[in-house]
Amino acid sequence: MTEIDQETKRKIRRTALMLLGVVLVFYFGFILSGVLNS
Amino acid sequence: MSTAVADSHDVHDHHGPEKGIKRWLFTTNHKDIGTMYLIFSLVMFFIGGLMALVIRSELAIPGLQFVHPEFFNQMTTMHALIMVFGAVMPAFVGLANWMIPMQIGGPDMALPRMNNWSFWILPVAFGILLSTLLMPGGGPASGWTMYPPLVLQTGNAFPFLIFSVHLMGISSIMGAINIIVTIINMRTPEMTLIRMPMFVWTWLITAYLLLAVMPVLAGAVTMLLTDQFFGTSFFLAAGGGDPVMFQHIFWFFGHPEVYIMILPAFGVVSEILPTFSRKPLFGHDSMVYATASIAFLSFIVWAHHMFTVGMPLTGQMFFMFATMLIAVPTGVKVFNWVATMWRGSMTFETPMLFAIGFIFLFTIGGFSGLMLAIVPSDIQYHDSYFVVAHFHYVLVPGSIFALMAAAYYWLPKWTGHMYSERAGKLHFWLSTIFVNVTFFPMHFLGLAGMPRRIPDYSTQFADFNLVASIGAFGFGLSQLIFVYVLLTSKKGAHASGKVWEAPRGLEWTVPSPAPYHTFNEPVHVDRTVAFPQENP
Repeated sequence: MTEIDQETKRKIRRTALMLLGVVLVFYFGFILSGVLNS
Repeated sequence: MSTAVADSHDVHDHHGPEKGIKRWLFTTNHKDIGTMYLIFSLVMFFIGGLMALVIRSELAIPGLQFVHPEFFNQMTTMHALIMVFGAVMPAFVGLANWMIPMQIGGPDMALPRMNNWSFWILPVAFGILLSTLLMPGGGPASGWTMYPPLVLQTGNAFPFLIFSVHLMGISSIMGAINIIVTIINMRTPEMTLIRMPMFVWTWLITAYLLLAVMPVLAGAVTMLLTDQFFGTSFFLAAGGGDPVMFQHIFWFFGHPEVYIMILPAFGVVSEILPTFSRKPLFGHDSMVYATASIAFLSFIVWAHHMFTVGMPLTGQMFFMFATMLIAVPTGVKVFNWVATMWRGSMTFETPMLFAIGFIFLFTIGGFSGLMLAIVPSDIQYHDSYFVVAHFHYVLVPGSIFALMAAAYYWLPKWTGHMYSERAGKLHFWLSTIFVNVTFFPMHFLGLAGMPRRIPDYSTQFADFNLVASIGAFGFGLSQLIFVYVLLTSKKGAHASGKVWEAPRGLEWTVPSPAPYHTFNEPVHVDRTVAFPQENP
């Protein structure tokens, strides 16, 4: 596997976690909106 | 000829792939994973295609011939789920895996282990989905839209359907995160965002769409699950819930999903046309903005699928005009493609034929989409074969033709050999003839009033249905030529690194077949070779 420098690794981790956060907010947000609507 | 200044990609090839099955099970290499995605999607394409042929056999003549109506409904549902989530989406993810790292000058995907997971979840998901056909009560039969309360009448298959849709969603989300992170962080320094090839741009925008809407689908099916098994009433009118709310949530996912399946196709066509027109892509930057506009508009048009459900007049007007607005950026794209070909030194190799076929036939699907966007017309067309004709024109000679074009375009880069041009052209012409024989009569059937999702019909629809069924078998058999091309793809003449006469982009600066590891170090590139939009 290719060696990636620490700075790029940190950026990759940060971007991935941010996107995962967006996914979780959307998923639970929609279910929550369903709960509030019913 | 390649004029990359540094081509260190092959001298650092310290290790090759593992041997045997372990290579495929544990690989983190983007090319291996891309190959697995592409083969998986081809298998799913044939399984979904066989289901389509069951449907067309039953519909060839009026009356019930071969299958029970319940099984017919299972076939329409499974055909759609398999083609959307198993064939078209994984095929584009496979292309993304293979090509994005090479096109941006990156060594691999940013999250290679997660990449392996994203792929291997898929066979499990579709194994579960297909196994439902063998369960008591059979597979899901409520259509791929899974509307409650109908879907809640599914038998033992219901929890398996929900679980497999969740798995598909998880796979897509992981793939989308990987693609975004790769494009943002792994580009070679000279590859600024606006210089990225159109395939990379369209995939970046598609990945954001996926991230935004797959959790919505997951949330909707989770709520279906709790309605069925945990006593909630999100969508059950008897408990105070609202079944129409499911339709809104589903189509908030479903309409961007349509663009998830077509935007990467736009990217593929935008790569191929300049190569075989021997001109840079006309209006590269406007293509990027048009793609982003289409993506934005795809979020505010979902209720055009629900005009007959009932909504205030203001809502109807808003969704009608917003939908028609999509024709503007799409028109920009079609104009740019035609302008790219205009006065170019065009040649008509198989990828170019599929790309041109795409422009003509996808545009027919676009026009019927405009017709469906008009509220009073849609009330006539809704749930008729006109809709079936429309979305098949968008998906078959749209997405599938673009996938075929991409496969022929990059196959020599993947295998190191030229495919049989004769077989490729035969594949194109038979596919083009039969796709029209299959789907064009469906416009007439819909306008004459034939409803969709029925196993039997009135005798006045007999002739066009027979024509469509003959076309479907012809189209299905034509795809075997593609299998022949793939099986014989190692027997052709050796391909050079550049493969075609005038391709641009970093993928053409590496040898064919592409080495197992490419661009291990940042690559310095000759602008005229690497950046398609900059004139030589």
